Amino acid sequence: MILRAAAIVVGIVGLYLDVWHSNVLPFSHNAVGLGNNHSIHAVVGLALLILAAWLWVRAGKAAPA
Amino acid sequence: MAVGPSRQGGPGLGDSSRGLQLRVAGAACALVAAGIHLALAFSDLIPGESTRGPAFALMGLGFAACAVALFIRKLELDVLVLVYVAALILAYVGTRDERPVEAIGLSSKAVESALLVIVAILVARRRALETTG
Repeated sequence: MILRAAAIVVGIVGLYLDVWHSNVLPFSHNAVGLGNNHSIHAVVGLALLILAAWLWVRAGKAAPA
Repeated sequence: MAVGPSRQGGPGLGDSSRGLQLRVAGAACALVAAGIHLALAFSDLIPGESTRGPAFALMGLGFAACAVALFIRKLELDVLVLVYVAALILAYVGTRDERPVEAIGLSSKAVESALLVIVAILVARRRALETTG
């Protein structure tokens, strides 16, 4: 359960870092103070999405049948 | 939540008293990093860099969550802490061409680097124990 919750949180943060670059959107990277280094946001976001998928798979394996 | 030494299977797999010491040290590093980021979230302490705002507050809360996650003693959460710390160190290094390099940032990254090494050791120990049984 805790792994699935972690996977969801990490996935949401990863999506946020990969998508929310523009000022048009509320709570964009610029608006919250993350700055203009969008390439770094994208790389970290992608890493977090991969991590979220891995956590989800591991949670499925750890869950009792 | 059990935090004592354990050599049984399940969440405590492979956590000897040395493992517990490493987790305590890692949690201490995470809490120091959390404190620095939260302080930066509430006031602009670094000349030439605006840190006040939700971004640094969330990073600080993330480090506090890392301190808690280390004591849950799951391999997956240790890897999560590892990736989180590595990502923030990468982000710091990647942004230094346009932002200042100064004592507060370097101190925070030194503590985070120590946390990264500790968690890497914990993950390596856990994987070694899982593969050897």
